[in-house]
Amino acid sequence: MTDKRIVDEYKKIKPEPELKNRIMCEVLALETAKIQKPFWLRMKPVMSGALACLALVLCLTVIPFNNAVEPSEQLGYGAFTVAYADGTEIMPSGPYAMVKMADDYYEYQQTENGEACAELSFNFEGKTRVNAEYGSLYKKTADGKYEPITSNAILEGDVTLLWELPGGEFDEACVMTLINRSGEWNLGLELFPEGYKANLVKAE
Amino acid sequence: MLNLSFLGSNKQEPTDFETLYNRYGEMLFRLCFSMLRSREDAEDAVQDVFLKYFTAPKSFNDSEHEKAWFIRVTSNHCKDVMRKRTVRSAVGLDEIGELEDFGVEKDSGEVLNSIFALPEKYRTVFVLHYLEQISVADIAKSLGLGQSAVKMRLSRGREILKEKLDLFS
Repeated sequence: MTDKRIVDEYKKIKPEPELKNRIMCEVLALETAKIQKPFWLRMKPVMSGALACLALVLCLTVIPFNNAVEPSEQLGYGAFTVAYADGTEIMPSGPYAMVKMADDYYEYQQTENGEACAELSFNFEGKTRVNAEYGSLYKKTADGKYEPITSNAILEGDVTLLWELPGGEFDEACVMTLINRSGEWNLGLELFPEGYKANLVKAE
Repeated sequence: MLNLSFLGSNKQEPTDFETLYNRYGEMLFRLCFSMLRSREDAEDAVQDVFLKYFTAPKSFNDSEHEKAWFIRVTSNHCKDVMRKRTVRSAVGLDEIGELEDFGVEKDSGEVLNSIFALPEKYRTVFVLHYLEQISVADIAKSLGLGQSAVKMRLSRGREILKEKLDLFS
């Protein structure tokens, strides 16, 4: 157990009191910038709200309920699996194996951006929102190429993703979040020179 | 409508920003300092993290979820800062923040310096667990690691420190 004295001395490390005010000013500037919009932009939420109400009234009164317009994005409830490039499944909160990087995309890693990356295969039952907090995600296409996907992309079915991590160095504890209506999961990735390993934990 | 809740009401009640800063500000600063070893860089990092939050406010299920978010984003932000340092230039010895500037006693300062000198992946979990006294489970959630990985890093961190100090068991 750590000496309490060490902990007390550690807690003496504090920022200057002015830091709080400095950040508050920046946040204020941020909020002010948000509201300094042209009139028509400020009115946009009001108009959008009014149109939404009108649409709802139409849906309830004109269009039969069982034919109501569904949202364009409907996340699924289904489970999903994640596997390494060699097919080894990543078990939720379970032990994970070191996996060597596949040779086929190592060339990509060197010729494109030279960044450290990992290839993972997913099977989503139902639409799932995928977001990597750091780095870039690419989806492997049928012809073996990698096309970038946007943050918070909605994916479904069998998908192979290449996760490119920033810095060009092997890093760890980069997290990808996987969300559908059954909940949110964090996929943590650790990279080492000899390979990479991932861990899947429920966020909640 | 302008949301001024973060500024505080006339009754001086805790505000969103103020509550968050009071709750996490010092902890995040200590974490940043342990990684960046510079008061100025640590303060900038804390500012960036709070601005990141307010640029796109998040909704959290509970305070633990919120804390995990702040720890993870802070840790990753500091890593980005350190990477940029590596690319541009190394931090000179005279730029490393001195613990005496915070009023830390010399003996304890030597111990803390040894902790801060640990390799980054051991240092972060070590600081969070032994100094910030966060549980292994919460650290695992915050950093997206398995609990076994966190325990392994704590164990290796202790082994390294044992070679330098005879304090940790």
